[in-house]
Amino acid sequence: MAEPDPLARLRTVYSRLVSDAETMRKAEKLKEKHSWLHLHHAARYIALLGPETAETLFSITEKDVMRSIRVNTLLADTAEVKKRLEDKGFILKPHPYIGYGLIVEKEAYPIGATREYMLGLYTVQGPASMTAVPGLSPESLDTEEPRIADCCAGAGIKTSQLAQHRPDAIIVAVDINRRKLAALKNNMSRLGVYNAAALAVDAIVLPRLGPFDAVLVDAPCSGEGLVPFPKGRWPRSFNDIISRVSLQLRLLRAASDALKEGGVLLYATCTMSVEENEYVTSIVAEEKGLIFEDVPVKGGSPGITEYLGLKINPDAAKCRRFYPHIHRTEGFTICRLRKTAKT
Amino acid sequence: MQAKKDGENLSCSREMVEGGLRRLLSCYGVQRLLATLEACCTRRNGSILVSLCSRPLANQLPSLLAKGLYTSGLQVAIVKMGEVLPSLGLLSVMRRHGVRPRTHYALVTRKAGVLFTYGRDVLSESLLRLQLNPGCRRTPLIVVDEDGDMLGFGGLVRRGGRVLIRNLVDVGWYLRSGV
Repeated sequence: MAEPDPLARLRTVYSRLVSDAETMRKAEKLKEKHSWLHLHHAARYIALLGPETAETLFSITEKDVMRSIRVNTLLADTAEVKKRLEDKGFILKPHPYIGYGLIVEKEAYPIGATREYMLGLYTVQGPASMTAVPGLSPESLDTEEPRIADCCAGAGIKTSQLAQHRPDAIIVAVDINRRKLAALKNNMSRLGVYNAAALAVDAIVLPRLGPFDAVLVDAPCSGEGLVPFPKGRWPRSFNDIISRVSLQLRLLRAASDALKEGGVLLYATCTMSVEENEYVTSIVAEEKGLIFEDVPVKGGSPGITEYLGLKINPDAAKCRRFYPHIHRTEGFTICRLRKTAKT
Repeated sequence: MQAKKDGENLSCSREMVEGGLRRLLSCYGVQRLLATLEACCTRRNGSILVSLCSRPLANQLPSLLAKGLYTSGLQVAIVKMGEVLPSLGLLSVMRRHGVRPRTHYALVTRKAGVLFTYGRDVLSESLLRLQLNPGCRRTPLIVVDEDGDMLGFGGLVRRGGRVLIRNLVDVGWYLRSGV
């Protein structure tokens, strides 16, 4: 008998989850405390973390999460930016994992409205989101002038970070949304990036633009990692997750097809959802001959390999997960894969 | 190659690079930027946007042109009705390459610099130095403050024997534009 497709498998495990009376009772209780939660969302995180830890996670607010900036080393060094901002009354300390990152302990005024921001000396970026590009480790690509793709580039924050790591690379940023690309264009101008081109196309066409030495897939996701922030507090049903997983699978397959043999794929999402991280990467790794690799970033917790009975590659433990209640970051997950065989 | 329709990318003509961009950069004494970077052009809303690209990227642009290219490199100038005007991105490229304007700039007080980034003009009493390039009368001046920060571009206005620098565009635009 043919194996059910990945989305059908998810529907099956979800229907099993809602028929678990004990879990659903706990989910109801969690929802009583956090009215914005969907029962499905609560039940999934109870299954992932247990009821007490899920309660801790949903109780975290933005005040508990670190706020950070990424120094644009194309235009300034970290010490210079730190001094300039401290002279203005900001209190900063080093990012726990990233050398050019700074944690904003106290803001004299909004950190996104300083002279230094306007001059492109830094940009505002989440403390966990900042680990995706170091996780890709563009400097470790042994090709001269490597071609790197940034799928779903949005406003180009990670595009500019790629340029910071490899100013000699050819960076192809892709996003279907032209409004976001207008923001990307401004960011490239502000941050002094001239080795990136942006295309207003669906990332599904990436193989036509390849081959690439590396692809960054910062995938559209459920945004469950943003639950500490007011904008992240909205109900997510099973169907919301299934629709994201469907899109993520398509993007991952396209990214894999666009990779050179031996190329690196860095997959990142702003969610701790196993379905949208270890599950989708396991599926595409198997289909496309990719292997999981250790993420060269300090911090985070290991990937999850057992969840709701889903089939997950044991090597997905090499992914790194950032939790708001443990790491004081936005929720974020990164997985690093390498293409090993021609497919 | 000449572009006919809006949004179409094109190779910058020799005239555009030599007569336009190189001349603009020479107004500020920074033409050496062209030694390592390539110019690339896009037509938009009847104007031509001139960008600087790294050489490896410029070499790949022909293959990306037909595939939905939105922007490439960093916009440093815009050509409107035959006139080449600098864009804010030029200041980022200059900073990245560690070059400052050698001519055609206005040095202003720290306070005037702050006001300038809020869209205000610079009054004559806030002008510390005015270094004009006589061959570039119609080209905007770079406005620099006492800390050496390049804040934008201004136009020289003479009024009743006094001069002021009219704000044409400043780095505060990155915030105010809302994009």
